[in-house]
Amino acid sequence: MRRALVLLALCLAAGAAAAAGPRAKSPAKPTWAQLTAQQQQVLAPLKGDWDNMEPDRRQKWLGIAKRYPKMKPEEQDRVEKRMQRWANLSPEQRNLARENYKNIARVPPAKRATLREQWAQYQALPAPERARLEAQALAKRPKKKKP
Amino acid sequence: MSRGEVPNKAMNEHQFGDRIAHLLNQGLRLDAHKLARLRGARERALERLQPEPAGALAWAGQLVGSWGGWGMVSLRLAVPVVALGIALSAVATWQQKQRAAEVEEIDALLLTDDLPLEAYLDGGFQNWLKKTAAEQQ
Repeated sequence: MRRALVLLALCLAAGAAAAAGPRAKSPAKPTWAQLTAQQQQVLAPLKGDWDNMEPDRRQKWLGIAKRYPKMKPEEQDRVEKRMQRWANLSPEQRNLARENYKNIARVPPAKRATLREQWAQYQALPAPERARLEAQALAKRPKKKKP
Repeated sequence: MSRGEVPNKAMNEHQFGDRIAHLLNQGLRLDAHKLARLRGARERALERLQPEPAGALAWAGQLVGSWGGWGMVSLRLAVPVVALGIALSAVATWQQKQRAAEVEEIDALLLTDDLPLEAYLDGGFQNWLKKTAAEQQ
């Protein structure tokens, strides 16, 4: 019986190791030098940060670089301009933007087209009004539990 | 007299012994009613001796026996446990890939969207949009 239990423990440990394996195996790859010329060209704004970036984020950027040739010229232009700003945001800020994007993406396409106008209208509001709206939004946001 | 009694007594003992031997040789003679009662009692006693229904332990013992003993149990246990481990890690990897794919998709949309990043980072704008939508309804 003890042998069976030992075996069970070993199997579970092996399973856990297998799950964690691929992440642990390649912690710092690909490095900037290992990227293709096309990838380096698209991801040029990230060159300085690349080698300190987490593996998951590198993979994500490689995915975006792969999509790049299929984008419209104005979209390519936006990606180039926004890439560094996006990479320099904190993980919390990026998650917030993703959440907000998902909320807005649920809006019907007809209303989606007016968003740019609405953004202009919002920016035209007096600064104190915008600050009040921002403070309200902050208060509504669920706070993270502190350890 | 005492001389004559001794052989007599000896005779009696012989006779007594012979009688007991005779009786034992004859076997037990009982009437039908007593025999029936004795048979009934014996059958009841034998019924009580019937093996009890097998408990969980006996079942486990039989199972282990049918598997080829405890030596085989570890192997029989290891195969499903390893399969379970592989399945769980496959599900975890798949979920991780799904999350990564979702993040990549949203990030690509955010980076190419006709609204600037600031619009999605500004909680005030999101709040104002909700309020305006509520007012229009």
